[in-house]
Amino acid sequence: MISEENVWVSGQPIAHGTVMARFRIRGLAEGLLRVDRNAELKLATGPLDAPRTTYEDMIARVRGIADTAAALIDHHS
Amino acid sequence: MSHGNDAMSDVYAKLAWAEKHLEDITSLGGEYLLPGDDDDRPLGIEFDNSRPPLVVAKFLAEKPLPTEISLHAGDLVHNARAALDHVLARLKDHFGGDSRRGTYPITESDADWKGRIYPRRDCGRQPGPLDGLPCSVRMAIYREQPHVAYAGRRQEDPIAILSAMDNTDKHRLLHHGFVYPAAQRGVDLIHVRNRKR
Repeated sequence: MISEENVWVSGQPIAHGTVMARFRIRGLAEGLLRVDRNAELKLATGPLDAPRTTYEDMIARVRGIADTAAALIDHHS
Repeated sequence: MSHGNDAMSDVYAKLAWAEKHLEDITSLGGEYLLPGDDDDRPLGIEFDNSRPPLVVAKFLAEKPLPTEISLHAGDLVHNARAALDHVLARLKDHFGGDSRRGTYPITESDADWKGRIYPRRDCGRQPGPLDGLPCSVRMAIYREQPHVAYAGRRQEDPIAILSAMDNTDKHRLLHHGFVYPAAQRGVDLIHVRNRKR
């Protein structure tokens, strides 16, 4: 390995064909580089440029509002 | 179960159904989100070594994300948003107001709150979504508004995002699904077998 250059960083757009990194190597490339099979990929939906949250947080936020409403009813009963 | 929890049972059922959609998304995603460079893995990295000594690592996503993921996401969002409307209806059942009218408000500012809760048209007061509820309950709902609960960063409130996604899904388009690496840098996705070679 002569050098490695990172290109993509988290938060940048990513699509089929996006260059992630460049390497300069001595000799044959075969077998030298592999995808890290433990690398985690995440899934998202919605507009790319919109504020982000998780579905878990959405559901938890609504559940919190429901819990507050239930407590109001309990307090009034 | 408390009286309040009992009253909110359909709300919790809606949220449980939203969680079921999330499980389906996770399951579908689990089959798709397998990084690798073999034929059995749709996502991965292609190593272009056609210009030695340079090797360019490119992200591959040859198969489109299953449409079902976007459909489940739309249903999840809609169920969670509808659960909020059920919260309002159950509060009206208990405290007063017409439970068949009005949706749970999600407002951006005090002016927006005032305009939606106390709507006026042609110099006259129009029916509002919280009519019939006592002041204490209105205040409890006010305190949950994004501009109050997330003061200074209301756009980050999950219910603000939920509301925007629900409106978009209902009226305009299916949300596109997309994948992204959890890694901070592209090189973090790549294993170099022998750096000294």
